[in-house]
Amino acid sequence: MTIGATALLCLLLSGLGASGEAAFRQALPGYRFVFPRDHASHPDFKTEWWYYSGHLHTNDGQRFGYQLTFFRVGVDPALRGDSRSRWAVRDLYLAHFAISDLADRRFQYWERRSRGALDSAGALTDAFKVWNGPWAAGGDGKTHHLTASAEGYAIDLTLTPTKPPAIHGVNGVSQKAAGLGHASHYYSLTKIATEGTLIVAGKRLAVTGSTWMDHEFGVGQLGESQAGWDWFSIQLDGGAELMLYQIRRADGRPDPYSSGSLIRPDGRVEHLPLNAFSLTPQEFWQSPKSGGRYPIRWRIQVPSRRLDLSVRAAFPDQELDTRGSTLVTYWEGSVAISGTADNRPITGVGYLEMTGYAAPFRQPL
Amino acid sequence: MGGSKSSNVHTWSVIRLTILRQLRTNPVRVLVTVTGVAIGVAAFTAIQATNESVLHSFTQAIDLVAGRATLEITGGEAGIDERLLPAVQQIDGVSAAAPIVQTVASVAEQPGEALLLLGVDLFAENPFREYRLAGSDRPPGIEDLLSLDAIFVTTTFAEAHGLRKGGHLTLLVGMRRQRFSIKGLLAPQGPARAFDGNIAILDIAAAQAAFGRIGRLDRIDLVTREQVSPDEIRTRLAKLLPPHLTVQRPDRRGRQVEKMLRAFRLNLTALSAIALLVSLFLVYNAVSLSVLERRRQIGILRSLGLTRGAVAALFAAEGTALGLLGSLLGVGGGLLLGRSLLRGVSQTVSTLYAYLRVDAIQAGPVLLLTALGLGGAGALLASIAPAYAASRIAPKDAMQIGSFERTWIRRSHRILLVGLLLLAAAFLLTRPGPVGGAPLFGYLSLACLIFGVACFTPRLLRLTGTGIHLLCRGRRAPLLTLAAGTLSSQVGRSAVAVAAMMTAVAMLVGLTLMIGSFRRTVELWVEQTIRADLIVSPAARFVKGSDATLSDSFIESAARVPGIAAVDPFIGQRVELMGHEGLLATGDFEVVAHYGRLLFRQGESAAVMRRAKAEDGVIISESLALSRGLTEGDRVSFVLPSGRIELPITGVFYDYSTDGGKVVMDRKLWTRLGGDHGADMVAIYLQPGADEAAVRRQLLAIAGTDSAIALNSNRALKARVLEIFDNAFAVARALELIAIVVGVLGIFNVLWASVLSRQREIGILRSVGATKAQLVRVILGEAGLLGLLAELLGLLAGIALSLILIHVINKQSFGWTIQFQFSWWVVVKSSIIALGAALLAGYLPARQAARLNIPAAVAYEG
Repeated sequence: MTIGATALLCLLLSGLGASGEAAFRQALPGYRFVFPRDHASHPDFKTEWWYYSGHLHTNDGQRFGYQLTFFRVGVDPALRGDSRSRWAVRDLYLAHFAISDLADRRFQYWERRSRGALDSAGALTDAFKVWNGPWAAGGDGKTHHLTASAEGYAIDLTLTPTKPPAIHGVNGVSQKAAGLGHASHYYSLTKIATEGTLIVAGKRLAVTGSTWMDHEFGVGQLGESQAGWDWFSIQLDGGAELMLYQIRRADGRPDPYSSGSLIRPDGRVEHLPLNAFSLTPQEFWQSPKSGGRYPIRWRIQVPSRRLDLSVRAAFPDQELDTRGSTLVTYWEGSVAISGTADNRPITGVGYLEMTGYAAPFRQPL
Repeated sequence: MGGSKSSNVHTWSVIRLTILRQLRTNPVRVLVTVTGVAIGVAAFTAIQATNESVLHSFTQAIDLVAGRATLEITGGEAGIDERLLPAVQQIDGVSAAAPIVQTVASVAEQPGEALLLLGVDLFAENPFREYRLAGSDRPPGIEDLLSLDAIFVTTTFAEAHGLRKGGHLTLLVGMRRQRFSIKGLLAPQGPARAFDGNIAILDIAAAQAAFGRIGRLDRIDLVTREQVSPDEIRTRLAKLLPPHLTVQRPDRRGRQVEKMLRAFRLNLTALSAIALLVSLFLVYNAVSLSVLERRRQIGILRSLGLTRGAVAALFAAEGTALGLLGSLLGVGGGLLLGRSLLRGVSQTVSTLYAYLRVDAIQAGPVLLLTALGLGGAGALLASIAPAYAASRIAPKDAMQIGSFERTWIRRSHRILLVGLLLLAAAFLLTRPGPVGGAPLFGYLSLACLIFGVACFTPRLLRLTGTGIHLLCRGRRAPLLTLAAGTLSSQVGRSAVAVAAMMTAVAMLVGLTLMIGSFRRTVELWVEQTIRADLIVSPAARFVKGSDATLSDSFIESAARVPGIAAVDPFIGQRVELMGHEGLLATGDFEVVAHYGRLLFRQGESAAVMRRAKAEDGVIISESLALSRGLTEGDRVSFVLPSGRIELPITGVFYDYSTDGGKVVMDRKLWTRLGGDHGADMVAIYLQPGADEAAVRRQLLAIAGTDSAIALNSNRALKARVLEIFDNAFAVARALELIAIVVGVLGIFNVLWASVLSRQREIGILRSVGATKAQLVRVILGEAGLLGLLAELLGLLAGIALSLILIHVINKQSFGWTIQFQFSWWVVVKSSIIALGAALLAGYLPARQAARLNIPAAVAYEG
């Protein structure tokens, strides 16, 4: 449905400056996170998402990546007025679910979209529960439970975080662009022990593995001069994790508001401003579907930590081409990590998200 | 004729001798015959094409709006509780379910212009329908989609109304005038093509508020998994859903519409078939005349060895060629005519049955070939008898003058017998009931009647001729005697022309009497049953499908207005009534008993209404009673959202407002059964001496400034009912006219041929002293006699025709009881038309006769 989809694109990609902004709370410095309360929904902020990505394997060594993301986008209350219709929109809900089969190099993804009428989708404020149709994430503070299913694929996973939440940015705020409030509150659970069942092409498999969870709420993502972003979540074998994101400007240079965090094995978080790391694309893959040219091998250097990592896509085609619906075409996939830390070899796993690479296609509008 | 080369050459020369020569020597007759066939075929084509376009518009709209839905849940006008949706979505096999509310809205300040409003969940439409926005300007933002006045209209609609993106559109929706803001234009694709672009899309939240339908859906569309059969899913849904909801494939709705319109379409088809029939008489006539004129040629050809079969084939080919040529022209003309009928027919259907908008005429190859085939095959059939007659001409008779007419005289006894048999058949065929709801035997009876009466023409012509002869004997009336003599001596030529004109007159008289009787019946009914002083309804209600209602608070406030004695809120909803769709309605029976009046089959209005109220009974329309075999004391059953209901029938009343049958109950019972609030319209009874203008002002004030309610006075409502009635019969009246024109052409042909064949006689008359004026009078006298006979027979046949239409066809199609009303006016009107037409047809031949050069005419060997 091209009408609705376009609007969602607007919402997701140009949250800044959208109308009705004034009706929402801004992400301001000094925010104090409280858990498990902050796992739940924050409808007073315009945009919010819960993002899970992880690496699963069976006893006999089959390996998979998965991603399950729930978005909530608040709608200007003036639009619904005092409508008594159950269809009046308070929030729009989107969700993406993807499975990467590393052996078969097969990438499958699905999406859902809902206005939340009649509890078809929602996110609770007093408890951690977010759902979109039959897909859901929730938890009691100690464990999280994920379920999603689509066309012969499903996950039913129990997640147990092994590290406390890592809060990104400075003073509770992850700045995305210049100006007060152009920011979000952003934390991650960087190391989560995972077990449960995975259904792949109708086959039920018992799996274990590790998951990364992000939860972010604030305003939208990009300013007008910003073209897209590259985001890395890396779990190193030594027990440290790395989160980096780089906002690319329309002129190709990284935006000064790009930043990252290093989470030490003991859970302490070190903020990494743009000048503390470098990201270098080293190999490209062009999507035959969208025409987007994505870097699928990167070199990451964090000189202060003497980290020099090579990030390589588990396989190239992990692109979500959603031009038919949400119109956000992006690459989100499982990556393998190798490199050195303090000149000693190190390996790890990770997830990489890249947006804004698909050639700006003409809308059929 | 053989297939060898020599015989082909032979064939060609024979064709040249007959058909082409015909064209050369008798261009007028060829022209007139071809024109007549063309008009008949055009009438038939036009009606069929209009019917097809109307149906196509419906089914196409249903298809386009259904999109990729494989099943749909509908709940009639009661709708569906939207809280059922999540359970529906969870049924195994349902992959997507989309909520829909829809209504028909009228464009403010543009009476007659309406469009279908579709309220959908714009974020859940992807599996079902695709809407594309025209132009490449900025796509709409979320505020464009979700603001409460947002609307998307089609580019077609925007162009027709001078609208553009960012502009506004004021619609009458529900009880109000609502101003919408156009947030985008839909390219003509998918649902935007329905009803030729008279469709608009809104978000469901805005739609529910605008249509006054919070909490309710009109439809749930489903996309089901291919692996599960839709029937299996229907079974699963049936267990979950309340009984008044229907689960069906979307195309089923198309079939329902087809069923609903069947009687209406069949009636038009039958009328157009009569026009076609009249034009085939013309072919018969033309071939007969041609045989007559070519007797000598036939004799020569036969002497030269041409077989009887070949002679018959020649004339059959001549008739068929005339028919095909006329059909070709007629099909083309029919499409043009259809286009001009389309607007009227689609408006009638919109008023009476369901909203419809269709601009383009749809005529598939099947229809065009059928029209061509009917014209051609009909012409062939019509020329078989004269062709056979031609083949029986023995070479020796061919040279004898008058032998053709002698065979006719011999044959007229047999023809008369056939006529009597046909009339008996026509009578017997009025007895059986309908076949599958259609009065097929009734139509057959009509055909027997027309052919039967046509069989009387030869005998009547002779009798008239002889009669006038006897009357004039001994008197000095040479001109009349001459005219009468021609009549009786040229029975063969004239009979078919009279039959054609007779059929046209019968159609005129039959339809006029039927429509007149029907109108008079409706007038009486309107006069006796519409007693309210004012009728209030939402202005959007004039097209079917708006479902606009007046609110309870409006009704309560209205009842308190000073000067108002009582209000009777009426609600009618389409439901299934024992197998077919009908109307379930409610009113305040006490108010009707006290102030109003219905015409009951048995019993006095007030008493029946009060008894129905006291006993929790219902009153049903006569059409329902007839079609379902119900009577007073029986029970009628139907399904409401609360379950299946069975109620006793207290009374059966005459009703002409709907053709599907009607069940009416008291409002208290309705409310108890969980029926809707509000009202479709409110009948208002004033206190004696109340100031109607003041009451009107008060009512408008209560409704509010943005209201779109229509206040009709008693007189205006009655007029409106009759106006709808007249519109519904406009097409029938057009067909009457067409039949008359064809009939006139028939008479013209006969007289023209008669003048040509009697050149010698005319020449002699002139040379013995007859003046030009006298000659003109003789010919016109003949024409007048022919017209008079056609009128006489047509009048009788027409009366019988109207009786069959009233008591068989209308009764079986619609279940209406019409009181037959004879009107002398129809005698006067048809006489003037028939005589006038005949004289008109005689005028040119008469002039031709007067212009003849005497010596050449005397020398003519006709």
